[in-house]
Amino acid sequence: MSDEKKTDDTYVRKFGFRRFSGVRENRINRVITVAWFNLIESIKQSGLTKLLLIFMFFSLLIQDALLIVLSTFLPFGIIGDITITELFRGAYIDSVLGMVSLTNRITTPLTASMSFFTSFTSVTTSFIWLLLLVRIGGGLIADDRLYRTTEMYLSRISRIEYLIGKLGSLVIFSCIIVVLPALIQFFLLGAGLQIDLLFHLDLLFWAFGFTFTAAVILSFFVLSISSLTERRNVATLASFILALSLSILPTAIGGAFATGTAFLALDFVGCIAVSALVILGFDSILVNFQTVDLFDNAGFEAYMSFASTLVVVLICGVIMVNFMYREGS
Amino acid sequence: MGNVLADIAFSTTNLTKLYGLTTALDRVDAEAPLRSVGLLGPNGAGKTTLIRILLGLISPTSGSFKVLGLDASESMNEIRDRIGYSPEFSPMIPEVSAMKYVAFMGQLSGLKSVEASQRAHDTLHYVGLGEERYRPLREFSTGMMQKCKLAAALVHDPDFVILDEPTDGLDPKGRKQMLDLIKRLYTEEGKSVMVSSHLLFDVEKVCDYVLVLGQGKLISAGSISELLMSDSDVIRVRIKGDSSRFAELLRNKNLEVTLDDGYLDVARVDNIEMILLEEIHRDPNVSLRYMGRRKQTLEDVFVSIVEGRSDME
Repeated sequence: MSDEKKTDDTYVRKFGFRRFSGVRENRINRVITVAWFNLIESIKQSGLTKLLLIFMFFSLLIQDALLIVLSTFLPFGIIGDITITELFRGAYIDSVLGMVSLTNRITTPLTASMSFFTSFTSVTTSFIWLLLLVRIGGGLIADDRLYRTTEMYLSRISRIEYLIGKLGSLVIFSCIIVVLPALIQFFLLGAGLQIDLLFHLDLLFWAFGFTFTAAVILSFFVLSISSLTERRNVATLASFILALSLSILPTAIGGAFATGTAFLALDFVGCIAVSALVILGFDSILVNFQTVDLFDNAGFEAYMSFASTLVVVLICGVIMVNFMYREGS
Repeated sequence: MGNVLADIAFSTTNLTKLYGLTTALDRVDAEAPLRSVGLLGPNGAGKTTLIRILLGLISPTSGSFKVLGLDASESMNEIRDRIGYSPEFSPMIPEVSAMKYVAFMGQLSGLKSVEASQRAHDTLHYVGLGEERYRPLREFSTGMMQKCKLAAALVHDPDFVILDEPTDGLDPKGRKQMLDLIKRLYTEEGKSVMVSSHLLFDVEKVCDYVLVLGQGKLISAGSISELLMSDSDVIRVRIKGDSSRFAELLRNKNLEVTLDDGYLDVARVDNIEMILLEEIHRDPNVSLRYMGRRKQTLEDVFVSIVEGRSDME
């Protein structure tokens, strides 16, 4: 026994405590550490998340394959008078938009004649993305509050580093499951339709900008809801219901009153997609296969989509600032 | 109150913290040397608020402070890298192993991934969790969690370690182990330690300097040995014979006497030693066995400081 103790003591003396003489990492690396650690641990802890990730993978695969197969084998007569370039641009834009628009299907007039086919694409992607985001993001701050780890973070890094790290978890995740597939899809679709992609690089940059912006805004939304409660499940459910119901409400209210399309402004997730189309130069869009003019001073207007997104971002910002600077948080 | 050491763990100037209308810290001017410091005070005294301000978790309403010679308004990030903190509660990520948790804390303090893992191994061994380091934190007992918190506080090799109630919830064996660890940190590893505890015995055992807070104000500060010596106004006497009768005899001489486990504690007056010797010599039924200054505990000092202070109640 005494020998064991001696051995253990020797080990402790030799390896137990050493002075640290290295160079400390810069602040950015610490933020990335927060983001990566939280992302990996969130995925590891949830079986449902892993299952959804598998669904997401097949959804993306089907989405890409369907587009290529449809565009390759369908005789053009069936899908109307449309050039291969229009088909490529329309199908790609619709597919990328579909990754964000939830129940209100927001598409371009370019592929109006083949909307039936393109509506197949990304139907599940946006839904599973939202599910995954709320599943992973719901506990990011709520768990810290419940288990009181916030104080451990904030005794080592600043509040803003903590917040960016947590946001980074969701953004990195979205980049892997949405931004990257969107970019890969550009090349796959181009190859499938034998398009010279160099003439369409604007789409690639647009897709990156749009999906990345959508990822940041949605992540911020989920994170702010997570900061309101100590219960992961409440945050997860609240984020999901809020995002989904806001997408359903415009159709429901619009249908009930049979008025214009102004209620679409309520769908902030869809508004991100609409804003992306406006930036791409479209002045009218298809919402659930109905044409909406964005600059006719009637019903839903382009500025409403920007305002709606901005309002949600501001509200989320206020919630986050309140959380971060509340005494004793 | 004065500090004899050049190196200061932290110093505060006019530090005030208000929570709404409640004053948590009231113009505190305190200095703690780079030693083993005990932070004492009743509930609501402002101990935790002071710790949280030193860590940059909350901002003071007014006043300034320095930690390890660094001005907090300019170098808070560097201060955070040089402080180790073990909170009173048990923060945890339930599904994560102690090893991963401690390594992650090291990375947050700027250690590279590999270095953080190596140091996490070593630190967990150091605190006695070598065998349990791969178990998830949700399976940890209170004692193991206290050690894990200490490991997390030490992994990045801080110069100043702040421990809030480090023995809370521990059984006697665990408490002794923890106190021994803290003492080793100070004496062998050369760390400056600040222990905030309600258990004065613990503070007395591992600290050599104390700060006493009450109602947000600094009540007293100084080395423990000075505090225990300065106020020792009681003479302790042990006699052979009837202690109760002899105590009554002394009371008749207008002396303040209390009986404590066979000892007579006599409040000091002028020439008290001579008076006691004369009385013992005069009484044929008693003889002297021991006479000396009663050793005070930190608890005695704390009570004497608190006693009579309306702001401490």
